[in-house]
Amino acid sequence: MAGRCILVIDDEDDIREVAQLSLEAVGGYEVLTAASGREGLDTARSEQPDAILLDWMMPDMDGPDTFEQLRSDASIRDIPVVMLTAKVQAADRLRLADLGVNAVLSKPFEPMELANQVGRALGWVR
Amino acid sequence: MSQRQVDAPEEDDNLSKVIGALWKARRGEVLAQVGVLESAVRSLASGNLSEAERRFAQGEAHKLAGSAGTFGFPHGTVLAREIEGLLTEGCAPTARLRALVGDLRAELETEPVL
Repeated sequence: MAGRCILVIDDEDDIREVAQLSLEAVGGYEVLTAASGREGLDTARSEQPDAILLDWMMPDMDGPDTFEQLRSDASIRDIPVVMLTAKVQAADRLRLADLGVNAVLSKPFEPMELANQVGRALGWVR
Repeated sequence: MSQRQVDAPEEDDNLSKVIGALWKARRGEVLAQVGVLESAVRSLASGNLSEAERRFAQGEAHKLAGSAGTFGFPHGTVLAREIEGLLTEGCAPTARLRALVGDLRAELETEPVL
C-alpha cells in the first residue's frame, strides 16, 4: 500500500534534509522537496502531494505568499498546508491564523518528533 | 493509506547518527552564519552597521534560531533568538550582542546532543 506523500518547501538545505530524513525514516512517508516557494508551487502542481510542509521565511516568495498562491490555484488549493516557522511573536502567529493554514509547527523541530507532529496536525495519526 | 510509525530505540539511534553526520557536513556553513553575526557586531561597534547588513545578520540569526535546536543545540536556539530580537530592534547594545554571538559560537563549536 502506498504511503502518503509530503512536499517539504524550505530554502535551507540542512533543514530540508533533516525534515526529509525524519518524515521518511520515522513516519514512512514519501517525501518531495523544493528549495523555494516558486519551485514548490511547480512541484505541487505536477506531483499533487497529500500535504505540504511550508517554511515561512524564504527569499523572493515567503511562506505566506506561497500559501496564498497555493490557495488561488484550483488544481492545488485543497492540499493541506502545515507552516513551519521559527517566528515566535504573537503578531506573526495571528497573521498565520488569519491566513488559514491547516496547522503551524515551530522551529526548531525535534527530528524524532516531526513525522508524528505532522501526522497528528493533519489528523492522519492519533 | 497507512504510515509506518517507528519509535524503536535503534531507529532513534540510526536517525541521530545520520543527523550527526549531516551536522558535521554542514558545520562549516553554520559557523559561517555566525561569522556574519560577528561581522555585524564589528560594524555596530564602529558605527558602520548599514541597514542592509543589519537585515542580513537578522536573517542569519533567524535561520540559526530555527536550526540549532534541530541539530542538538537547544541553547544555541535560545541565543540566536535573542540575537535576532536585538538586531530587529535596530539599536542593539553592542556589548550584549557581542557576548551573545561569542556564546553562540562557543556553543556551536561543542558536540551536539542528539
